[in-house]
Amino acid sequence: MDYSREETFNKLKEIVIAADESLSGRESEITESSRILQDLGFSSVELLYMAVIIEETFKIAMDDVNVWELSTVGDAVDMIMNEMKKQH
Amino acid sequence: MNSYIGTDEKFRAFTDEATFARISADETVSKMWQRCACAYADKTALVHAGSSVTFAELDERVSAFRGALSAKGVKPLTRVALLSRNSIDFAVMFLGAVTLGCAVIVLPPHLGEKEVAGVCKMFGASALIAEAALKEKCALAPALNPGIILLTADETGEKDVAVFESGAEDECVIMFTGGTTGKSKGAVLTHAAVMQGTVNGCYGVRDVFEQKYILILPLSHVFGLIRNLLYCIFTGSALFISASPQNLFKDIAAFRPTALVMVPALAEMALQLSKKLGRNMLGDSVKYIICGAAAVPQFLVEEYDKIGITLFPGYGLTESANLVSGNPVPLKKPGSVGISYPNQQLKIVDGELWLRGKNMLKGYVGTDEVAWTEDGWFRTGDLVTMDEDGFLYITGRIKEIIVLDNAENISPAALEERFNALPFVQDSQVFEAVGDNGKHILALEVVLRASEIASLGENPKAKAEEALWQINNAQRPAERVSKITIRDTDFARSPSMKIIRYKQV
Repeated sequence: MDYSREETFNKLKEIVIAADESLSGRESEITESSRILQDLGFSSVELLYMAVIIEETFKIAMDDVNVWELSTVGDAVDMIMNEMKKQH
Repeated sequence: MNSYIGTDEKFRAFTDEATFARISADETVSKMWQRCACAYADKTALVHAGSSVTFAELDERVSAFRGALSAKGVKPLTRVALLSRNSIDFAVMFLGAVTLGCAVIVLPPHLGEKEVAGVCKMFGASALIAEAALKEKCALAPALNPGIILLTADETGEKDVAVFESGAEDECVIMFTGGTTGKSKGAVLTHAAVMQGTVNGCYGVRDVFEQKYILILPLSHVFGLIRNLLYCIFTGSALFISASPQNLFKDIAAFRPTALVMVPALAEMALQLSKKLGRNMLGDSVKYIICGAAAVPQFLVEEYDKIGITLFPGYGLTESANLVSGNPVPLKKPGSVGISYPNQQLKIVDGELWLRGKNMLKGYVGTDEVAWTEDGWFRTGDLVTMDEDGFLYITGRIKEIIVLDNAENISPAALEERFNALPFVQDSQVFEAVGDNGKHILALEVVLRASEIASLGENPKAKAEEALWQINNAQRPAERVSKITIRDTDFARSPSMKIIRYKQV
């Protein structure tokens, strides 16, 4: 099933927290403009973890997406919405 | 302490006789390539980005590139700088230059145009060879290095240019390293050193020849170049060159490797994902994980053992052509980085590991720093202990030793290990800070392990702090920290995932 933008963002927020549980309890700080590396403090390994869970959750393949180029949480939401449109 | 000499006899019991007899280093990398290109001619050598080459096909390309180098005037016994991301082209250029008798300066591919030109000058490169897509980064080099010869990987020449008869003590490769002082420089490794480093990867495991590996690490790092690429050539193994770590699990599912070479952070992430998704992300083909380039926590060894994968903690340096020591199967001492590989002499001086032997560097370039003591030992800067069976344990780094106001020498790594033993501690750093009264104190920062936070119940931070203080208060007074902070974010890390330590105050 496809998700609305809000649902996608909320699900992504859960994934972000699962990838870095130190963000747990700080959900309100995670917005679409949060920068994944600088603001959320993601390491490259956490980014990879997030990418795998995104593929599983949204049933998309990110073969054409460079995960290192996703700057903000909003960029990731855009990417997921695009890929769902293309692939579902 | 008396010195200790590593021998292959120590590893004999762990491999069958027929396999063991085949583990014999060629005199040079060129001779190894000539032998393996024939011996494994029809076997797959490399797979990358949808294409694959057999050893014979790769040799065709290597010969054509050697011809191109020669036609452009590149001479044996000169240095050639190589700029390429992980690819089949990297192997073509590397082997082309080495078999022409050149020493290859392996440039990290992220270097900028100015840095490429500067390193060529500093290391005395006669030629600069690059993958076609990185050609633009070579543009400044001629201005700074008049007469430097430029080539890209797609250039070809006559295939009948003979392989140069390099000597074992000739320069083979120059790798970037921070060394014990942290200042960037080049470590010069001879053919003999590189070959010893290559065969070292064969000791201690049962499945050595004709395996399937996936390359994730950069080929500009000895762990990638020697333990992955050259090991695979020596053993007739197929190497799948992953286009990006992002594709790792898909690549594993498609290629079904038998072994992986990984840094601990990635091995841990694969484990966490497997738990979360309820399936082994590494599939059922992987038997071994060669793990190093950073300290390997013991729990990783134990957790992987539960799913039938042996994870080997090892220890190595750029200056030692990768491996110094490794663990044999079955793994009996998971906290150890293993026993010394052959043809290497070790001694421990005031806790520091000193090395000499066939695998060690010839010297540094690009620095005035001398690699050796007067009597020919290389000081690793690593603090170790050795048990009665010859197994090594890393306890810290000399340059990380903290000397407090009371003249106590503190090894942060040894202290961190005690905190890291708590299951909910992912990583920790003990460092020197200045307290409110201006006095130098020890402080601890901790990152919690995401998968264990729930087990701490309500208010996990407070619970974690309480447990950390308990551990702390059980230490001898000089080794107790005065401040504990639970971090909300991970520590800053280097590209190889090592924690970047706080500067000493």
